[in-house]
Amino acid sequence: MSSVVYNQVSKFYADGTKAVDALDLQIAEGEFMVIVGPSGCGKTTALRMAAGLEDISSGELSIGGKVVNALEPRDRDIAMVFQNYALYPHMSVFENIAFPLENQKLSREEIRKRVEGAAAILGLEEHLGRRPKNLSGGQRQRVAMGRAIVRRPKAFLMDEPLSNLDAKLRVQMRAEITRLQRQLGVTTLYVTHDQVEAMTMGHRIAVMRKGVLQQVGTPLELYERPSNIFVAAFVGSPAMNLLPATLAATADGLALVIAGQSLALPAALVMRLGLARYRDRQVIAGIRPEHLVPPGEGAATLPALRLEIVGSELIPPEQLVQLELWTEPLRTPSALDIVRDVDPVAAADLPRGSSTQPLVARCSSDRAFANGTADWGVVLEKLHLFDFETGKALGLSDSASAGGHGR
Amino acid sequence: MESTRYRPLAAVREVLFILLALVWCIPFYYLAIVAVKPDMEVFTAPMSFPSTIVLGNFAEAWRGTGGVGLGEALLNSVIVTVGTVSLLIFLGSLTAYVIARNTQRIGGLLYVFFVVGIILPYQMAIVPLFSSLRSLGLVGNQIGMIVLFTGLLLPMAVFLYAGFMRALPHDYEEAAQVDGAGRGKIFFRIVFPLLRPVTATVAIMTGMIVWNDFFLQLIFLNGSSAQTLPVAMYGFVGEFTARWNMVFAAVCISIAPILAFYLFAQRRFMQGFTGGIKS
Ligand SMILES: Nc1ncnc2c1ncn2[C@@H]1O[C@H](COP(=O)(O)OP(=O)(O)OP(=O)(O)O)[C@@H](O)[C@H]1O
Ligand SMILES: [Mg+2]
Repeated sequence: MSSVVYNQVSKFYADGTKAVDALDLQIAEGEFMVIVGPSGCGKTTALRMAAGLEDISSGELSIGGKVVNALEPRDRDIAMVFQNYALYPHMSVFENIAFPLENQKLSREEIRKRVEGAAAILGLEEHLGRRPKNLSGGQRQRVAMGRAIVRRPKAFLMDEPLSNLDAKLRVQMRAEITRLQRQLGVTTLYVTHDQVEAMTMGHRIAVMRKGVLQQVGTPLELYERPSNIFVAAFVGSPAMNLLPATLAATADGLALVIAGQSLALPAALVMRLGLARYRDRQVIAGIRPEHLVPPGEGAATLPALRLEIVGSELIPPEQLVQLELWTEPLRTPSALDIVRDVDPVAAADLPRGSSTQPLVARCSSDRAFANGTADWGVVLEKLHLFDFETGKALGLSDSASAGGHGR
Repeated sequence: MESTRYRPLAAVREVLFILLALVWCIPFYYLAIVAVKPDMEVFTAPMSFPSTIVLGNFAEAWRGTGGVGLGEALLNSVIVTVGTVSLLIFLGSLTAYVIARNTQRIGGLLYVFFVVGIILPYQMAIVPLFSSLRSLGLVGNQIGMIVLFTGLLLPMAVFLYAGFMRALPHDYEEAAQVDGAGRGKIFFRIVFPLLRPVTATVAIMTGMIVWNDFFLQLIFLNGSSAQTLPVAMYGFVGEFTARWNMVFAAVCISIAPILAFYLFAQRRFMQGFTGGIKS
């Protein structure tokens, strides 16, 4: 067990692709770090550099305090679980799990003991004599895990190990891997593009986009204090509602103006986010679906937005209500780009030149909503505000946005 | 649908195929009857059924020609074939591994170099080959023959192996690297076993070429104690008279082991050709 530290690590491929750009990331001893991001953002590349399967173009990578840039994979003492498991097809389950030990020149007896121990942890005892091709997907996944844990390596590296499993098995293995990691306490770097996996498994999450690290933090930190609109949109399902808005000065402070509707901002929020500087400027307002309160519920003093109900999706015990706001939707180039990254399907659906902004609210499935206009409450204490041009969260000190130290 | 799918059309097809198979057997029929004919009858009535069956032909053929018995010739053929094929599998797979996994230009260049080796007609180089092999003391013995065939067939082996290896996913090797295996171990424990389907192809293709070759073996082994089956058989064809019944009897003897081998290993060959990599 050791820490894994990326210090300004970059990767350029021969064709000029900048797959990973000056990555700074510290994974503490025994920590479960999840790297998450849309397809092609450099997650796999970052992981493969730690494994030694990809050269590091610049920067330093250390494992257990030792710089490993020049070390061969076999000298790094790490274990990796591949997306398609890469089980050796011509070897039995036993031989597959024993292979890493064989390379350590252990005695036959010792190998047998350790393999059987690993098989017992993973419930593979009955399958030791079988070939990988005769195993189910979940069993193969376990064999791949067995090959990793049998050796007590310095770190586990896993590249989307659950993506080949069906949904139900994925949930089960998710819990199993998490439990195993906590039990063994081995430093783990886990790559996924599934944000549910990221939120449920990791101690901390690193969000990447286009080779650049966006934010590192605990699942809750990312959810409650996203440092830019990308993280805001990427973390959470359904995604945060992002709306163009203006901060206008009123007689008693600042108000958020969305599509001509003015919401007076609480003084505490103005203070906390340092909004005075942004008076009369355009911003992006972010409201999580659960912070839109259905008409007639919540305190009467709750500031409200007049929204059109256009439909609802029932997933008892909750429902997702589709709402619309008559306004020019958020169409800054960077925002569109982000929508495309976060949800390519939705991006394709964006009606060109339409003038309504879709929103989603999450509420209990007990209540039925008729289509039509209604006043929805907004929990302004939980409001997120982002710079209109850069997309950075307002009121966050720069140090909180990237890096991250220890657990 | 009917419970049986045997239809008149199927019957016709079956009969046709049986007839076709019989046509295939005609050469074997003549091979068998000529092999047991008395000496003179080979010329007077070559196509007819023998008047007396002379099983002694086999015994005489077994005695061989040029002082080398057919048994020894058979052994020589086996040594040359097995030696060549083993060497080809070893060198071919290793060379192809380097070529297929090399990302630099040199990998591509080496590949072209070997492909050109397939195209160039080796017959043009026979004279210099002969003289250089003779000065190395490699003419008239099995080792020389093995060296020669290995050299000639290596391009084909490399070509077959490299094509297969390029399609082989890197994951297994990468997993082995991370698992702490060295280069040699990765090749022999992981890569080579995965190559089994091509290895079978290479073994059969090159093995057949070597076993059936006559030209080179005649040139390099004629008159030596290392002479192989084709050369030994050719010994029955004299300057003035050819003892065809001896040749045919020798052919009968020489195909016997091959036939036995095929019957025994048929199923495994089929698997080798049809099965790919399955994980
Ligand atoms: N060998 C290569 N040569 C050139 N570019 C590459 C190579 N491998 C990856 N890339 C590029 O580098 C970028 C990052 O790739 P990477 O595989 O790390 O993405 P990823 O985050 O793992 O994506 P996914 O979720 O789809 O697996 C991509 O734009 C990809 O096209
Ligand atoms: Mg990937």
